[in-house]
Amino acid sequence: MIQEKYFMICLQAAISKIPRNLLMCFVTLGICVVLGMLAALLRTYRLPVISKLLDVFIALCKAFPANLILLICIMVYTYKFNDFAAFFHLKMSIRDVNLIYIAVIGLTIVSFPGISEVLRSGLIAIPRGQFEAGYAVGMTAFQTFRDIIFPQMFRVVIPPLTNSILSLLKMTALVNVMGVSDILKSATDAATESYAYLEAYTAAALVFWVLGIVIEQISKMLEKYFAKSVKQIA
Amino acid sequence: MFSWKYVADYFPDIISKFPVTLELVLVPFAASFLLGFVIAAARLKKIPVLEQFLTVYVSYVRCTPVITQMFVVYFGLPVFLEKFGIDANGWNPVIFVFAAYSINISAFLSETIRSSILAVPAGQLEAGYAVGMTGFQTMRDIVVPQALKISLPMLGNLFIGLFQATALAYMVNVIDMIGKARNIAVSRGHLLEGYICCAIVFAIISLALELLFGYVNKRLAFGQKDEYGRRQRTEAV
Repeated sequence: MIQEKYFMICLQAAISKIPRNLLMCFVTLGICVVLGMLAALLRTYRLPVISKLLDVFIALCKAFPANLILLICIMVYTYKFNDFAAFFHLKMSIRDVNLIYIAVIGLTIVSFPGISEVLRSGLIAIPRGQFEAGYAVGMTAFQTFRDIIFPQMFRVVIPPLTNSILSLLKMTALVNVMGVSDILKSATDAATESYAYLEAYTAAALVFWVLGIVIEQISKMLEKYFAKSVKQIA
Repeated sequence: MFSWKYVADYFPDIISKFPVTLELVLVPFAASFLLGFVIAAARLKKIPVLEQFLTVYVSYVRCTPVITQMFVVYFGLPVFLEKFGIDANGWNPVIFVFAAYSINISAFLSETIRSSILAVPAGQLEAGYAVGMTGFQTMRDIVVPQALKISLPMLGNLFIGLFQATALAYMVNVIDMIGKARNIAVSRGHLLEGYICCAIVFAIISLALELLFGYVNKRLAFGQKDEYGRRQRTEAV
């Protein structure tokens, strides 16, 4: 059965890498939200050619398994980085780049479609009258979006976005196929000597579980906080 | 260097392992469909100890990555079975993947089924009782068919998600498409070409499944409101 001594060693190794996983998760989230918001706006207001292209791109991104995208990213990077650096006259070799950046690029490709869909559904949920009300009082389109649409959208989007964040956090466990040392990899590395792999994976699972629960609770609190501004029936 | 020639060369070998991937999808999905119904029923009926246990189970599956779940089963199941005098050390790794994915998908499926059953108006249940059906009959003949229709879009997403998650099975030495690509790369090189070959197969099947589920949803969507809140087919009063 699980041996406590090895379990604690693995758990310590796993805990020490929590900041790195959270960093990857939230940097990716930030990039995805910005890009996804742009994509959602373009697709909702049906900008002629670009919105069709985005539809195709998002459908394609969704079609590939996450770990294959990450594997292909890292291999393309190792094959092509020197050509790329030469093309831009960068004085960098392949060793100068932290693999985390590549991991973030890979994770962005993987989770961009989901987050963009979530933001789009939030945008659709805001009644048209809200835009018109903004125009009616003389606000510009950008002002209307910033002061009226976005705050309402944020409230609608919290629950589905939490799901996206959770799946993004879980996806950060896949970056060890790239050789980035994360929670899972450092836990299993700590187990190579003792061959206590069951302990290592259990420890990693436990850490992810706790992180997931914390994120879920924060989202529930936010949901409750923002629900104050909505009138309830009776 | 990279060349599409190798992608074409490796294609027949890699596609020959497609049945393994198919098996990895269909067996866990069928198993977890049954399991999901049982879990959903237990949670809806609020059976005392079981309900708390299942809440923890669903939370564990929701919050941990599939890859750790798979390895916990892969290393943990033999240890667990040893207690009952069963030696699982020589088993085919496919069995562990089946078990891990069944655990994973059954939790998500149970959530889907539960929310869909709750989405069926309570009047439907009462109508069943009013015409003298038993609780089980009402569930089987009235509530569950409607719930399935509601849950179909989510079921489709889960199915596609499971299909893509099978791309992890090579890590426990299952020779699926990716495992085959890695084996080829050991003897002949060109791993990237092999991966791209797998990626193309995965993408085509995922897109086809998405179109199929979209079509089925459209056909089944009668009598429900569309996204603008209009009824798609007016019902006789």
